[in-house]
Amino acid sequence: MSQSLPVVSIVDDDPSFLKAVSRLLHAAGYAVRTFSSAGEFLAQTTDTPGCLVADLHMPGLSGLDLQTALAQDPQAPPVIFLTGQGDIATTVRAMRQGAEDFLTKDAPKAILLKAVERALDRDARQRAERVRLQELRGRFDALTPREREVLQHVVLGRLNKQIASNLGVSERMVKLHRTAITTKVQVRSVAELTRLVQDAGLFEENTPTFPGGFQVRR
Amino acid sequence: MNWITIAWPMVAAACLTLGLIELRIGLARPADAARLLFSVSAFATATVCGIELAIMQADSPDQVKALLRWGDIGVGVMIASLTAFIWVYFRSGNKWLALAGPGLYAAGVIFDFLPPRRSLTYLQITGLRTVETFGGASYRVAEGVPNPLNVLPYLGALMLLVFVVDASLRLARRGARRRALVVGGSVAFWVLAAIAHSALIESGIVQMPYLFSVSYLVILLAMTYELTTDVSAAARLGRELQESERRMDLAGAAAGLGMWSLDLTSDEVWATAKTRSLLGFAETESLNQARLMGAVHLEDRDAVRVAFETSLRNGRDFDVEHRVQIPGGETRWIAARGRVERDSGRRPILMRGVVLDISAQRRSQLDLQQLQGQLAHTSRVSMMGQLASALAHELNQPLGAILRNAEAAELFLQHDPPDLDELRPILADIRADDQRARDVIERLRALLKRRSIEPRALAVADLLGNIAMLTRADAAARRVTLEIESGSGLPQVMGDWVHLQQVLLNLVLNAMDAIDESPGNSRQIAVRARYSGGREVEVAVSDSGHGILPEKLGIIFEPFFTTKENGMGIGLSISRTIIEAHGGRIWAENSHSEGATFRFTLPAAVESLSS
Repeated sequence: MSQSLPVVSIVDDDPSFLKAVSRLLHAAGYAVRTFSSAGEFLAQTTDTPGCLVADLHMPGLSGLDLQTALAQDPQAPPVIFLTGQGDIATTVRAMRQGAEDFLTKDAPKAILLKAVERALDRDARQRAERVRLQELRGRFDALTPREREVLQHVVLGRLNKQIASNLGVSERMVKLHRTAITTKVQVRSVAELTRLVQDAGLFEENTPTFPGGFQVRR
Repeated sequence: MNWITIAWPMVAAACLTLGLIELRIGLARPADAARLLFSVSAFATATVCGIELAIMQADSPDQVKALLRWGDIGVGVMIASLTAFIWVYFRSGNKWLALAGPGLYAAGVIFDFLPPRRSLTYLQITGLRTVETFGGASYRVAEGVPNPLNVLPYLGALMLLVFVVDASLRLARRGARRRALVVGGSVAFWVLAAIAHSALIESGIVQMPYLFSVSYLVILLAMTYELTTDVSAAARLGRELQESERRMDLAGAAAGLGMWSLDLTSDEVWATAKTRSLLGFAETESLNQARLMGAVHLEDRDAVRVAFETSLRNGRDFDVEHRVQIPGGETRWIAARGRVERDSGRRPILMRGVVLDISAQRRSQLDLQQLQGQLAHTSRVSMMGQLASALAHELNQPLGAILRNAEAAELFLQHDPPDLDELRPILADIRADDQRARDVIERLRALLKRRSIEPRALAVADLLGNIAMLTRADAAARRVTLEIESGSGLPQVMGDWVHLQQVLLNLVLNAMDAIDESPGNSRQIAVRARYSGGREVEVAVSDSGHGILPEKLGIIFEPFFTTKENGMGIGLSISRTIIEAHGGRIWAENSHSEGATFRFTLPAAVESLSS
């Protein structure tokens, strides 16, 4: 998890509204940064934790355009849309693209602050999750190619004898590999190992085929 | 008493009678000066007639000599007055020939009165002879030695002959053949007869009395013929005039026209019954300029007076519409037209004109204006409806900002200790946003109000800026870039804020629709104001849409023409009504690159031109 404080970024073309919202969030105790257009926001590259509060209707890049642009970025912050008037079509599109929330400009403070809080939580969770996965992948990266082969069989629930005959090694050899795996990945049970393999998204890229092209038989 | 003493006085009487008639006509009408000249010749002839009679009855050569002398003067007056008569009556002839006849004659007559006071005709009269003639009548003729100087009056008479023939030919060539033949012919005949006959007498070849007056009868006949022709022509003209007056009465009555004329020298007014009833005067009331002016409605009087005086000054037609307050309480709208007539010195002497009741037209014009005003208002309201959601956005911005600021203030107050320093700018911002919201509402309200066109000086930049404000949100929602460009140095324009906003709004909304209908193009609208000197400012609204079909360019401003599925086709026609009511023009054209451009002009406010 990153150490820096979360920042709420606000994008609105109306300077007066921009100032008012930033003041409110500042009074509520958040660090705030303001941008007068979507382009200005996209131009900054820092990766501080936080969330984005954006006006839906803006000249040039609109709020939805901004969301579409952010969708390319896996580290994009959650977006809360503020709008003077909301129509169903825009709302649906915004939510489908993963907007955190969709509020009218006169929504009560409590709802806005709650939405910001939720968005920041989600950002924090997403960031923590990203960090955890990175660390987990690091553990799996430490495995030797042979150990990864053995791991593949293990998570499919094969017995040591089956693995040994399949790989053409002794059963003892398989046991040694399994011990090395549990040590490196720091797990105590096969069930935990299987969950971590799934979390790390291992063996997902080219579904269940063995190296060498053999079909895995369950 | 015998036939001679009867015939000559009768000839004289005839000459006197016609002479008097012609004198009367000539005096009555200055244009008929020729008739005065003719009457002079007729009176001279009557005199000559008397002299001729006296010569016939003379007792001594001395008496004849004296009578011949006066006879020469009489004939001279005849020749001179006939020359002048032909000159004036025919309005043609050679000036030198005209002067030559009387001149030569006068040169001869001088010798009658110069010492040794011999007769111009005879150097010496040797005796008198009595000639017996039929009916028991007798007359005397002189015998003597002819004077060679007598050739001068003959030459003068010949010159008159040449002049008359020449003048008659000229007149005939101009088309008045009858007059040339009758009058010219008779005068020529008289001259010829007089020359030939007196030459024969004075050379002693024949022994006859002088017949100057008798042969003049031919001219008398000719002039009588002319006179009767003129009289019957006048009678016919009189009938035609009556007929044409009746026709004019009928036309006037059918068209509801009242006719009038004002004599500017005598201040007398002639007016038909219709005129009198339209202006509220009684049938028999005598009228003058002041009374006519008194009929005009008090508020219109100055305008009418100015129009009247302008017309007298510059000679243009008097053309004015004014009200008349009829004593019964009714107010009438009258259209008055008039034309000035001037004398030869260009002084106005008469104004002739018509009046027409236009109350009905005025009423329907007012109704029409009211209807147009309602239609414009309806269309404005419907346009605001189109903009409603965008305008709600425009209002929500300041309202949202106020809410957020108030909430922030609450939070700052909850801090321990309360963060009072933050409150001052927050309150200032709340106030500013409140003003902003108020402005939006005020502008909308102004646009929704029903009102007539009240032009005043407006800054073009303000007009365009307000349109940018009204359409900004809509443009953003429709992803259209709106560019406003009003260069510096633009003069103010004379116009009505609300109505011009309506026109601009209509053009910009149309432009956005055009862009929506052509998805491939870029999405841009430019509103530009331009001033290139002169009395007009031009405003152009260009879009990047699909343009206008060339065959439709002429009719897009017609009412109920529309290319939109839900369009009523009144926006542009109302825009045209509004712009034309401002004294400007509006038209459309296709841009060179893409899309269409709508342009309109507005009169520049005069005050700002000088500054």
